[in-house]
Amino acid sequence: MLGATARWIGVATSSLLANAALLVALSRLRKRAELLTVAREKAALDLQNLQQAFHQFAPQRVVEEVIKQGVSTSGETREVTVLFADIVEFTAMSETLGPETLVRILNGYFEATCTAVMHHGGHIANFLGDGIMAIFGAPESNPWQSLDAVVAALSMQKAVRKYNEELARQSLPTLDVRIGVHKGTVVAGVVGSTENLEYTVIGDVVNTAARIENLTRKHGVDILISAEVRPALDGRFEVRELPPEYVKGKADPIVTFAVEGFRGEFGDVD
Amino acid sequence: MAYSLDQVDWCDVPLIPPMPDPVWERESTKRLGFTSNTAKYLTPVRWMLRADEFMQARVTPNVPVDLSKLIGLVVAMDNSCRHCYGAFRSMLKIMGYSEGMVRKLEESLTLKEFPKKDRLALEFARKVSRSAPRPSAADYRELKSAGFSPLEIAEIAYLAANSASGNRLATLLALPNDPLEEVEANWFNKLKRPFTRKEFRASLSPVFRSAPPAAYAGPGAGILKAFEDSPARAALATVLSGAWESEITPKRVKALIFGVVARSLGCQACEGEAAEALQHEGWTQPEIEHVMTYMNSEKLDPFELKALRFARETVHYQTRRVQELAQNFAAGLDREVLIEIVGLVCYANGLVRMSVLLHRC
Repeated sequence: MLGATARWIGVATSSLLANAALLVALSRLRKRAELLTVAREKAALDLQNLQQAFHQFAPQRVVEEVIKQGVSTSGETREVTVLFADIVEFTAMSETLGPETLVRILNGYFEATCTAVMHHGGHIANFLGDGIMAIFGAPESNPWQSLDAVVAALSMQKAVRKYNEELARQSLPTLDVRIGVHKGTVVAGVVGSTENLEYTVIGDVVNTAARIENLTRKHGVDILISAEVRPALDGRFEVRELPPEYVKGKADPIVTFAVEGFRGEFGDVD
Repeated sequence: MAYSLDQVDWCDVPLIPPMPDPVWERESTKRLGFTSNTAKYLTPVRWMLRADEFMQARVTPNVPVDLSKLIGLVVAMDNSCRHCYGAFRSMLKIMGYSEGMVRKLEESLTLKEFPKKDRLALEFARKVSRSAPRPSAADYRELKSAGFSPLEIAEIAYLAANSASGNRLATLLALPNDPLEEVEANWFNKLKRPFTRKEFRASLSPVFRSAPPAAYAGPGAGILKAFEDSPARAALATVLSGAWESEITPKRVKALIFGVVARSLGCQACEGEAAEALQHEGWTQPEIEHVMTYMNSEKLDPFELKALRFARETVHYQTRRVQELAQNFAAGLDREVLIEIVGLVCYANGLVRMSVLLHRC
């Protein structure tokens, strides 16, 4: 009898122990599954954020191609308008300011001007020190790309004037911004190493837009556009033709036009 | 593009308050068997109410119900429309798709889980919705060689373009979440689902046929031919005719909105239809070219110019930004004018996106 009871107790104990072990194992498995779910959700969120950030300036199909294959081979030729903006004498200014003040001024400037670019259909392609390169007409094609770029340039100047008032109130140096706009054909696509991919545009039009921006200093104007951009503007824009100038990398002198005003209303530009 | 509901940055306040019309709701219930939740945001513009009915009803009998709802989900995700995305997600789950299956669809970029034919249809729908660039004759041929008939392709394009219109409408009006989401999330409904699934599916199946309107010859008329005798043809013709004949907005503005969207998406045939309509309204070709090139015309008042610029912004957009633009645009406008302009830009977007059907081959 005692033997049977002891055996029963033994069986019950081992069964209890087995159940307890099973419960512990199950609980561990559940915890592991939870951790895996969290990790999976985090990875999905990271992927979504990456996709969203990349899509700011890359066609959705290119983003998908990069995610699927790690690379994109879909370079394409397209017509875009390139805008270059630069702060006059910024290097000299930066030598007289502390690093924190410098970064604060620069961030305020980027905030004001980049908003103007994006509100008029442009995409920021690059920050080059204090310079900005913006593209109109990519990733989505835009038949009003040059008109948008010039309106964005006017809007940027207006935003800088407003920002200067704020800087003046804080007894900080004000900014003088010059902008060049040019239109032409580029190759657009994803370039770079697998670790560092970038959707960008490549072509002579990019260099020429930069040269045109440089010419603003020579002509003493704020916004300068090329002859390719000029036909996009109607009578509401005050435009003055300037004498042709030779620029680096061009055999012939290039004709440019100063945009000096706008009579009308176009969102935030009036 | 959104890959999960949480990712959509959505304005919490609708552009306009709801204004239910009990008479319309009774009439609509007689026709459809239910009342759309969107209708109360569209009163009192009659053609928009009618268009909303066609958006809710099934007018594409050549596309299976499941595929049509999957198209709705894929396009709503692509357009980051919180309202439509949530509604289609819930609908699929009530129809019997598990959370895992829906998640797979959301995360999968290749749609490889689907049979080849469905995958091709979904990829084509995505192309129609994105229109960056618009689908080409080659895309059309690919579907045809996979065994789709011209009418099936037309109905797939209709579903995708109609969803693109509906996404824009819900986005611009910042419509709140669809009540279907709550229905789906309710634990008691979840328990009942195995028993109600069949009934729910059955409610989605009937084809809604309506009498076509008298001959329509305004902008977008060319696309109607592609639908042969599909109920989608009568639906589309009713919407187009109602929009064109509405007296709230001048015809020149309607034609220009269509033209601006057409130029934005590079559809010369649609732009030609807009130009023809403008010529009927007394515009000369140079005047039309001027407004299309510079988005400016002495023949338009400041509000009309603003409407054209607003139309442009709805072609490709970031959800939150376009909702801000809609709020700015709405300031000081009468309810009916605002609803009609919003409707016109949405349907112009859908119509031009269907233009691949103009070049059937």
